[in-house]
Formats: sequence, structure tokens, C-alpha cells
Amino acid sequence: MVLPEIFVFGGLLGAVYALLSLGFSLSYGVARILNLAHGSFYMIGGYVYYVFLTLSGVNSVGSLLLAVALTFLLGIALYLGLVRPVRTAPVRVLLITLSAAIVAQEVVSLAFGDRGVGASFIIGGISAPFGVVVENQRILAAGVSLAMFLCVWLLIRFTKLGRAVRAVAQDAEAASLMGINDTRISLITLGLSGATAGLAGALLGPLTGISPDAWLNATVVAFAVVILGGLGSIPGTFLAAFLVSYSQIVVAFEVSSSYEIIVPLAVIAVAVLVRPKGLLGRVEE
Amino acid sequence: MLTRRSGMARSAAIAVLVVIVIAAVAGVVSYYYVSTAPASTSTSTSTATSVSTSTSTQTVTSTGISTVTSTSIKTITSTGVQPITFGILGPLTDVTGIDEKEGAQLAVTEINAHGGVLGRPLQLVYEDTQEADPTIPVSTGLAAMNRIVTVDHAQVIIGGERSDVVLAEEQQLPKYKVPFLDTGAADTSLGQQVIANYSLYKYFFMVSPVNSTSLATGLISYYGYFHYVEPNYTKVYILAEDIAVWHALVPVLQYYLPKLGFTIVSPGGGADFFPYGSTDFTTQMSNVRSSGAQVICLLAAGQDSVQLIQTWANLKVPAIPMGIDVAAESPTFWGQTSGAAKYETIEVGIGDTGSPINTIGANFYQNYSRYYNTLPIYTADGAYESVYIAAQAIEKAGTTNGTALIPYIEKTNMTGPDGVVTFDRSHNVVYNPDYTKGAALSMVQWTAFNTYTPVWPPTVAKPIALPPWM
Repeated sequence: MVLPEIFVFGGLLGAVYALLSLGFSLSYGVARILNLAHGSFYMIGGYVYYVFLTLSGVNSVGSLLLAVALTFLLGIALYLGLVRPVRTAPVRVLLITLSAAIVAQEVVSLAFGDRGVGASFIIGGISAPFGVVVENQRILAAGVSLAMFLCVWLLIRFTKLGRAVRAVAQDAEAASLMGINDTRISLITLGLSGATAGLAGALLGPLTGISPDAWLNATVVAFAVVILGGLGSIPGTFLAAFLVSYSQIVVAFEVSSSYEIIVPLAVIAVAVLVRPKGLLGRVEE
Repeated sequence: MLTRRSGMARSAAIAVLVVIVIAAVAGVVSYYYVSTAPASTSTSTSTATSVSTSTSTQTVTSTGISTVTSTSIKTITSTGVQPITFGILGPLTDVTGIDEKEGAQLAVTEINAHGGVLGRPLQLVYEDTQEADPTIPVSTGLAAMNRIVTVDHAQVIIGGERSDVVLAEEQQLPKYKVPFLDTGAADTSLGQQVIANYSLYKYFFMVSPVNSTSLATGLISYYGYFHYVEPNYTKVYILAEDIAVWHALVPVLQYYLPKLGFTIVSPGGGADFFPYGSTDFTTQMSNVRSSGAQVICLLAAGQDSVQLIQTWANLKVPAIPMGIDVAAESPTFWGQTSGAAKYETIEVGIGDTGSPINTIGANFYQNYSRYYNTLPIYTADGAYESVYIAAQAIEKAGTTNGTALIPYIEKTNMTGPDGVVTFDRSHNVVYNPDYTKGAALSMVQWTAFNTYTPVWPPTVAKPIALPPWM
């Protein structure tokens, strides 16, 4: 058992998984939208970072911010253009978001080719926490992810907007009667969902490469994390992100990396069968 | 109701607007890429100019068909004469497919400039199999193959990349009876089909690269040479994609590497297999480091090696990657890895080293670099050679009938960029370390942008450079 490696790599990966999954959890918890295009924000965030950094000469921090801004707008556009007309029909939401994800993959593929692209790191060099050699970019990605996760959690927990979000999440109709514009809240939530996933893609993309089909794995991971943590539960998402990442890393080190990809799928199956409401989620009808 | 309708109308309008914006963005980006694509410019790369600058007309051995150094690439059309149609079947948006297309175009242009074949011009048709994408099913390749034969009326098929796709396409050959010159897939099972059932599968020929057994032979020969020049680097970590072709190769390495003086330090004395299409290699690199390996024997056919090599360089893992890495054969690999490819050493056809072995290779390399502003990979010279092989067979057979062409293709004996091309009874191009006797291989090391240096065979080898962190 290579404990230091598992501890470090699992922790760093878990932080990014938490950020990636946060938006997925929010969009379901608040707007009741099970967005299968969530991973597309991750993929597009990576590409936006690549385009601005590599092709447009914008510096890495600027490219990162642009990735966040554009995926925020894309989240809003997705809601207004595709989801809102069908939001009362969950199956149609699933179908339309899945279709959107596939269309996004094809568009990106046409523009940039089937093969992935890579972009420079925001911060170069390596470090050796607990004697484990890792890229500084990976540490930065985990740090920024945790900070962003914390910011969103504080926003939801302690601000007026956050109270409105929670009110809509609890009972959209009652919140509406109390004067809260639930459409506006859903818009913000989807925008936030896009931005957080886009940020995760821009941070992790330089480390893993980014390809048109990267959305699928990102969606599967987010799905697994949110199912395990409990749909709509932010603390549950945080906890589950690390459980999934550590499970993957343990399997990769102790069994084979060939089975690593099965972990999130197994998590979904087990969670649905054994504890459908997730670790910290509400009971779902 | 009125409000709801107007709301829905607004949503629909927004949806249309979003689609238009996405399409416009995609269009602009696509235009940008197309307008800056290598093939649209005519300037040579710096490496290309280092290749022999001979511009004289060169006759391809025993074909009677000449290659020329023309000043422009253009499609030659004829009036009133039925052209002979060659079909390019491959992943046409991927570098392997693009090179297939361009290599074939170059050969067709040269042949047409000299009157074509049987007095008829050659023309190319194309079908995209998308097979560079591992998620694309085999059926897509089969559909493309069906179109290229029944709709485009290809009389010879040139192309292929993924062994599983080509294996499925090979199964269709008894139905279509069209020669299939493979320029990408290397699995030995493709040729075994020909031996097992010759009358059905005789239409299949593997032109480039040499088959996987020969690739292994070349790699093991190189390791023997490396041990001779660097006797202190003996610990090898075998890192391979989890695909059939490498599972077949690993036991061969396990058998021969210890005999050459190496110790295999990957788990269980075998290989550390990772999933095809992996994107995160921190686990593997951590394992390589802790194993004490000095050499990574990398076996990769997909694009995952881009990230693997970047992770290797970023983490300064003290083991040099030396193996078979298809993605690294592309001139774009240096850029894809942001220069992390430096020091990686890979097996290539000897015609792709940047140091042509004969004047045919020099002319091919020079013309290809000039017209497409990039360096060719194995699919380019494979397609180039394939056009000449098929043209020669048609010329000698006096017909384009697929079945009638087979005996003439089997008797191919011509010199191409990778050496002498002949076929064995499995219809695989014959490998020989001596390029004057067969298709030869080389090991090259990435040293700079668009440049790799041959480090094997000894006749062309320059000293191998080790990363400064080793």
C-alpha cells in the first residue's frame, strides 16, 4: 500500500471533483434540472482556456477568468434556450441536455479535431508534499477548487441571494408566492453550475488534456458524486467527491488503472440500490 | 395562455439564436483552422530544407512510372477518358488520415503528370471512417467502405488505421473483390486471415507500417543496441495501453529483454496496462519512479501518450521513454506536448526519420514537406507507396479488375521511402533491418520542434541524449 501517494493524489483529485460536481448538485437541488450536459461545461471550459491562452495570446489567468465567464453565460443560454421550455418534463430535460452535450462534442470536434489539445500550465514546476512528487498546477487546481467551493457554499449559506436559492430549492411555488423570482434564481444557478464546471475544466485541462469527448467522463463523475452525496446536498457533494476520488486512486494503485474508470459507475449502481437518497441527501420521491 | 405562448415563443427565439451563435462561432473557428491549415501554404519548414535538395526526376525501381518534382500540386483531369479511381478510406480529419490523403495525392499527381496508367488518369475519392476516435464503432468504417465501393466506385482501396476496424473491413473483401492496401493497421491477425483463407482474403495487403511482430523485432533489436551503448541503464518499466496488440507484444518483450541484460521492474515483471484513452498518468508515473526504472518501454497507439509524456516531463520522472508511440510520430506531437516530447525515443519507418535513405525517399520527403508544409508520417509514405503499387499492378495487368490485379500486387518489388517493398505469403510488407532488402525500421529521438534524430540502426545512429534529470 503506497499510502502517501494515495493520500496526496486522492486529495488533490477530490478537490477538483467537488468543484466539478457542485454545479450538477445545485442545478438539480435548486432548479430540479438533471443536466446531462454538465460535463460539456467542463469540456468547453478547457477549450476556452486553450483558445485564449494558445491562440489569442491572453495570459493564463485571463484565460481562466474568460473560461469561467463564458461557461457562466453558456449555462444561462442552455437554460433559456433549451431547458426552460421543457423544464416541467424531467425526461425531456434529460433528452435535450444529452442532445446538447452530443452537439457540443461534435461542434468542438469539427472546430478543433477529434484529438485533444493541451495548454500550458498556469503555474509550472513540481513539489513533493509528503514525499510525493506532483505538479504545482495540480496543487493550484485543488486549492482554487476548494476556495471556489467554499465561496459558493458561503454564498448559498449566508447571503440574501443564497437564502432565495435555498427557498426555491425547498419549495419553488412557495418561494414564488413570497416574491422570489424562481426563474431568475434558476438562471443564476445554471450559470453558476456552468462556471464551476468550466473552471474545473480550465484548471484540470492542462494536466489531463482536453478532448471533445471529455464531457462524458466528467458527467459520469459528477453524476456519481452527486448520487452518492445526495442530490442537492452541498456537504454531501463535498464528502462524496473525496470518497469517489480516493476509491479511484486506491483501485489505480492497488489493482490496476484499467479498472479506475469503473469506480464512478459502480458508485452510481451501489448508491441507487443501497441508499437512493445518498449520504446526506433528502428522500426523493 | 397568451402569456405562456409568448413565453414559449420567446424561448424558441432564444433557442434559435443560441444555435445561430454556436454555428457562427464554429464557422469562424473552422474557417480560421482551414485558412491556416498546413496544406494551404507553400513554404517549407526548416527541417524540410535540411533534406536532400535534389530535384531531378527519379524513376521508381521496376515500375516504369516516374516521380517528378513538380512546382505545384494540382488535380489533373482529363477529357473524354475514364479515370481510374482509387479510394482513400480512413480517419480523414485525423493526422493519420490526412497524411494518407496527402501521400496518395502526391503520388497521383506525379503519375498523372506522366500520362497516368494505361493512358487513363488516376483520380482519388475519399470516405471518412472517423476511426481515430476510439469511441467510433467499427460499423462506421464498414459503412464508409460500402460507400467507397458502391457509390464512389473505387477500384482500389488505400487506407485503414485501427486494427479492429480494418479487420472488419477485411471481412468484406470477398464481397467487394477490391484490393485493399492497408497503410495504418499493423496487427498480425490481418495477414493471418490471408494465409488461413487465401481465396477469400487475398485482396488484403499490409503496406505500412510493418506488422506488429516486425515492430517488436525492431524494438528488441534497438534495446540490444541501447544496452551496448548505455550498459548502466538496465531497469525497464513496460507501460502499455490496454489493447490487444500490446498484450500480444508484451510476452515477447518479457522473454527477450532479460536475455539482453535488462530487468523488468513493472508490476509482476510484466506490463503496467492503462486504459486506451486515459488522460491522467500521475499514478503510473508515481509507480515508475518508485520502481527505480531507468527506461520506460512505452507501447501506445492512441493520443493518450500526449498527456503521458507531458506528465512524465512535468514530474521529471528519471526514466527515458523508448518504445512504440504512434501519436509521437506526428510532427504535431512536439506542439501537442508543449515540447515535453524532448528525449522521447520512438520506433518509426526508416523513411520517416528526416534523413531519407534513398533519392525516392528524399524526393518524397522534400515534395511532401514543400506542398503540405509539414512532415509526413508512416501513413503518408504508405499511401504514397500504395498508389504506386496499385498503379504498377494495373499497368502490368492491363486491367483494373480487382481479382486480376492480385498476382501482380503480390509480385511487387519496388523501392519506396521505407526501403524495398515486397510482400510475404500473409501479404504483409516484408521487414528487413537492411533497407535495401526490405522495409526497414529506425528509432528516432525527439530533439527539437519538427525534428527528431535517428539513434538506431547503427548505420544512421547519432548518440542518444538523456534527460538532464536522469
